[in-house]
Amino acid sequence: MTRTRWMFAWFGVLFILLIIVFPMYWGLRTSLTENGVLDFVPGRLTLMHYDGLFAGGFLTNIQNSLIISMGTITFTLPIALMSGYALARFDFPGKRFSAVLLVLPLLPAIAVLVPLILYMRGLGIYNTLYSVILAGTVFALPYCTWMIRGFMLSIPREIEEAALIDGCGPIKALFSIAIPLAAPGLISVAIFTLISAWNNYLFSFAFTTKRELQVVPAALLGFITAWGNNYGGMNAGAVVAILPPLIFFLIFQKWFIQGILAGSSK
Amino acid sequence: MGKVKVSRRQFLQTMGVAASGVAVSGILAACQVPAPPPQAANVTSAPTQESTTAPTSAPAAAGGTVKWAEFYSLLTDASGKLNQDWIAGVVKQFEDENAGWKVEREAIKWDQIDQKAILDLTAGVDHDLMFSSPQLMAKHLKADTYLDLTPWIEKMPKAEQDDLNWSPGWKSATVGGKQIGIATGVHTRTLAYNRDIFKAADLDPDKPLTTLDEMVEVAKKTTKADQDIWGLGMFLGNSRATIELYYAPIVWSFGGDFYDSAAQKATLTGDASIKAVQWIYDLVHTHQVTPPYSFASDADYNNLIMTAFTGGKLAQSMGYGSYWIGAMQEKNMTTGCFPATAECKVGTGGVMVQPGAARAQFTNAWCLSIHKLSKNSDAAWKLLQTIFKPENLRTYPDAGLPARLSAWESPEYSSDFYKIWLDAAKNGRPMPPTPYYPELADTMSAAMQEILSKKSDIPGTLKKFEDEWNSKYSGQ
Amino acid sequence: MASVSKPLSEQPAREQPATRLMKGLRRNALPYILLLPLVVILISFLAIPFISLIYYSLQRTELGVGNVFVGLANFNILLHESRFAANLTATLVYLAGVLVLSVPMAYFAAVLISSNRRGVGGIRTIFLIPWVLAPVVTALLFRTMLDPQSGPITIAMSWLLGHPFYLTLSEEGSRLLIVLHSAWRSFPLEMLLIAAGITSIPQELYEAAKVDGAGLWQQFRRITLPLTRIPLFSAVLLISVYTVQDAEGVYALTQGGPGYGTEVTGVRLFKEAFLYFNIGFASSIGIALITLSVLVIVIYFRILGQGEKA
Repeated sequence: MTRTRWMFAWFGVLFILLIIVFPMYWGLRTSLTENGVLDFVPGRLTLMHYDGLFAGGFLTNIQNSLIISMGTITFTLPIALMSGYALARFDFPGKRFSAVLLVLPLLPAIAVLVPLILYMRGLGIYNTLYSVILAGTVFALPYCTWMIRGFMLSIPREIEEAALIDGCGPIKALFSIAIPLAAPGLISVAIFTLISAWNNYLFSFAFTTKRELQVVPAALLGFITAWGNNYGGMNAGAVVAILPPLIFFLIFQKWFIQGILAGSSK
Repeated sequence: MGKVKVSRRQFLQTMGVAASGVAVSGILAACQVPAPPPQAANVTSAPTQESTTAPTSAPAAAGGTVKWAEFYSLLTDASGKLNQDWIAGVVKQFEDENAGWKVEREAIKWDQIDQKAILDLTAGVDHDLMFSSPQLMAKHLKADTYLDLTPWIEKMPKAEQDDLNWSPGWKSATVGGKQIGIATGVHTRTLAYNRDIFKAADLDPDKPLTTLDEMVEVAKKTTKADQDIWGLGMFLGNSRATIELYYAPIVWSFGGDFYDSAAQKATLTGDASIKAVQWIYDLVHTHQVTPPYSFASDADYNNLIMTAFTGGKLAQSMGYGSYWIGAMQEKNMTTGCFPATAECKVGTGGVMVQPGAARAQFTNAWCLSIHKLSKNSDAAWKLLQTIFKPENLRTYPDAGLPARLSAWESPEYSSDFYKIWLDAAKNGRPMPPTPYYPELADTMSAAMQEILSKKSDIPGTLKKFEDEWNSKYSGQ
Repeated sequence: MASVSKPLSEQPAREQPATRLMKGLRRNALPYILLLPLVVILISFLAIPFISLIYYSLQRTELGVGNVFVGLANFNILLHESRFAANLTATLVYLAGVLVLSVPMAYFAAVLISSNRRGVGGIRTIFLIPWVLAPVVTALLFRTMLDPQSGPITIAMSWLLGHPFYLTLSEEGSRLLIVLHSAWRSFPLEMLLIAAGITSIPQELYEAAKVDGAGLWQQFRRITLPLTRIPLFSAVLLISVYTVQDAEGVYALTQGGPGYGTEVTGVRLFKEAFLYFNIGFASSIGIALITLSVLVIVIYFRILGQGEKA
């Protein structure tokens, strides 16, 4: 590379870094200073907004978000695993309809929320966390199944066939061979589901009415346009909301990226 | 590979089963915590679902849980803590007085609490006591959201009834021959003004303005755009406050209205309406005496009207609410006015009844209503009575002004400052009684924003938005 | 036919025909059994709600009365409503804006992170962050930066321009805000997919092009662009669909204002369904939104199909 190109590339990197990092820096800064202080680098930091946040019951929101994320994974993974395995390893009449799984995640969840509310009520789980978990599972399943199918396809079939000849049934082959080999894929599906569930706002908004059942994004949207712009408090909430997906992403990013690529290209 | 393989397989299987078992039980346990505790069958009182059913005088059942839906947030709301503490105190009092009864607080955002009540009615989700908005009572009547409180009210002493039923908030909740809410205070608005800025501009701070033209003149004299000091604070953003506190009072002052109750039609293109929009438009664009960001899509009523005024950035702050008297006091703009005392004195912050021919500002209050699906309506009424005890109502931070007429006669409210507030409340007007008021408010604020942001033709744009609302909701 | 077990199913036929049938059934049934939970869930929680959506779209919701069958009246209102026309316009402007801003940026970033220099891994990680954050959270961060009184960007721009600058006063400014926010959120995914395409291009092609004297731009146009067409296509499809359906990001930023300037279809649906509870009308908007999404998908596949033929 010539020098100008170098300069150009690094200028680009710096520019993109700036536009990505600055909003987050400003959010962090705002959460740690008193409202009204506008210095770029504040002189005095305070944890008052975090104190206010937790005194305001934000811990409950975090707990709800955790329960919902974990619940969504617990229900999504086994079902997606079974289905993904079936789609990757068997030929059967009607299999071509599985392409529907690619289209379903592209349809707007918000459109069917209204009928779903009546459904949840019918099931007696309206206004509980179960309904949010159920909805999260329903909307995560198509994409997750498709991703797992992709991972299973990338595992050489011969290994399993060898096991089958050894006398294992297909279920045993699934557990002893396919799952361990597809573990990185499963982890990426899990992380993907976790982050989407953590970030989802609509389901909690539509299916629960109580503050003690609200998830973090729903509580945060409540801050916006409620009464006044308490930017310190709102950004403290934002920082707390950012941390779990960010940490998970940083730890598992390799698998996560692999998963996204596998899911969208196969 | 046989033996090793088997053990590994077993290990994996065991691990898998164990892990999913732990996860599932964790989820189940966790989900059960927030789920409402199942109520024993004998706990529920005879459901007073038919509004005609006469209630029993005391909570019929030995105990249970009564739900109270409120909206005070510690995070967004400067006075959230005060209100939360007050609620906690009232709840404790109720629980002490009614052994076996517990109050479960439900929190719903203030601008969603009415919609949630309706949505949950259709969804079959019950609430007990709920805060409700007077401007939505027509909608609630049509949706049949709340119980008629008349049978309970009739059991109250006459003096007690008269002490409460005078207020604009109470009257707004008298709809279709029913009383579906009781006002907890009086939220009215005045034109707050900065006496120091008036004096500096050679204006007499003791002479109240009487006309809209005077307001404009004062605004022109006091605006110092380069110092971010504005002659007239207004909020014209994306919320129903735009129609309630700015558009409506000006339309009234021009002698008209924006809703024809007889024909059940929006009349946004009436003369008074066009004049009112033109008046606001001129303030923003021609005279440039309002903060230019007053109609930004992310503008905020609190920041523009309360914070800007108490921060000394506004000469006049239109639509300043009675719920912000405390904020004025906090910035030492008044002395002894919050909580009200007989020694209440005005400092920098003065208030006057909204100038203009109508001298009217929108006046409402948070009401308390009992949800139609309430399973504990008698207990909810009991809780309501605890809340309405004079000593509790007096300390309710968000009351704005007292809901009880008797309180107005007490020395604390005898000051000139509070006389102006009472005058404003007496002149107060409600929002039009259409069940589609939220839709109308949103339509009108969208029209206002389109006119202000695009500088588009006023009658034409109003016509477009009037047609939009009328084509769907007129005659209903 | 269960293909995994093909070698097994050709076992000597010494079993009774009935047993063989049972075995065959079991084998054939296995994939169906494995798929059963998925199919049951998708049918009961996606297919049936979708059908009831169609049913609700033919009703008018009357408070206190319930639903009244009105045929296609809701769609008739929608098609003749200037507000819905404004919603569609806002949606298309939003979509076009997001693509125009995010795709070039994604390409640029993808080329940058595809080189195998030191430090690129870390940069890629940071570039991906906006995409793992919740729209509500990022909207909140953007609002903080653009607040008319305290936002650092407002203050910096006012200082640079020498006069007060407020982005959200005009329709154009508010649209720019939602586009900037969404492009900021969307470009990482596009970058990731495109970068995967770039790394799969054999280095020899570039070497050959260099020998032929092709410049950087020529290399990009002749090699990179055509060979990343498929990942670019999937990226653009995904982002387009998300953008067309977005409600919460826009709602958290502008609530659709000023006027109906940024009231995209998703926000309109959100308001009708959850603020006004016009369930019938909201359902017809839901169907319009689904139609819009399907239209986007179909258009992209047609473009891809034509590209393939050419």
